[in-house]
Amino acid sequence: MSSVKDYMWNTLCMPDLHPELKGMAYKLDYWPDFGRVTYKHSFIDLCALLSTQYVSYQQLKSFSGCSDETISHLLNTLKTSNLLSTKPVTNDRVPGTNPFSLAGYKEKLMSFLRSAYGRNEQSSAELVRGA
Amino acid sequence: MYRKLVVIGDVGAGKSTLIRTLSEIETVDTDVTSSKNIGKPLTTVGIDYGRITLGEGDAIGLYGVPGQKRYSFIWDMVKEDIWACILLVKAEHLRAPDKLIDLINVFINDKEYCPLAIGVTHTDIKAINQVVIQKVLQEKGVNAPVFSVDARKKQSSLLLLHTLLSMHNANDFSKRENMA
Repeated sequence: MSSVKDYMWNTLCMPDLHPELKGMAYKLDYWPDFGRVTYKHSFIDLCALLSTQYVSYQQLKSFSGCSDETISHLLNTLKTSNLLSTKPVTNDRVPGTNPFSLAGYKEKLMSFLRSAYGRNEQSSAELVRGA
Repeated sequence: MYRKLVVIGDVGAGKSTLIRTLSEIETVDTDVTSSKNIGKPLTTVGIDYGRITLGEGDAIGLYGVPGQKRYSFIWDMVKEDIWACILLVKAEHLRAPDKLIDLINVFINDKEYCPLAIGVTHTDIKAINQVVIQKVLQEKGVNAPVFSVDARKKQSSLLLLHTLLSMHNANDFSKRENMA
């Protein structure tokens, strides 16, 4: 594990989104190596969303149900790590207020993951969704 | 419903170990004593099989498949209706990305949506620059997460599984947003 990267992923938790990231849509260029840094499990969900297309802050928040702190932390760190592309939001459609909820087998699989993470003493990460 | 998670990779990359780590049942494997020095006494010559039961009516089947072309008859047996795919690569074998692309194309090329996660093992022996690998893969049209993993550790195995689930969810999001 790179201690410098780990330090960055753990400490770039600015309370607010970096000014350069405000009013932008985001797209993940490359995934961070979550095998080498300490991460929150919600970062995986957010990175997956960011990997599909340009996504606005409001879309991220609405779909993931993650806190502002978690989203800002991730976006700030991805930007600092040169893993994120941005472009101005042109038409930020107001998304629904209900966060995406898992159903069917996905809900069951997430439940399995939660349980398995919980049994794993080496896991230092936290599972935000459903916590 | 039964869903198929395929784990492909080279000899010694950790397919059998990963499946053993994730499976809730005693895995079915086809290990034999290796006739060559591959850094371990046993090697898989067929399919490894494990399972994660998700309650009534739902399960994820875990299929470990050798990455060598001479086993392509096994690829044909498992490549249909794949839910997701994990490619395990030893860090020292990353020098040949074209071979990886060929292997990836066998399993996910014609699928409607089949998320792929790449786990690089043995990074304690050879360090990797994961962004460089992702760039090479993207130039070939493959956009997949690349993680350093240790197939013996539950944390690593769960990271790959969680990522595949999140990618499926993100695909749902993308479809919903594009329809709106």
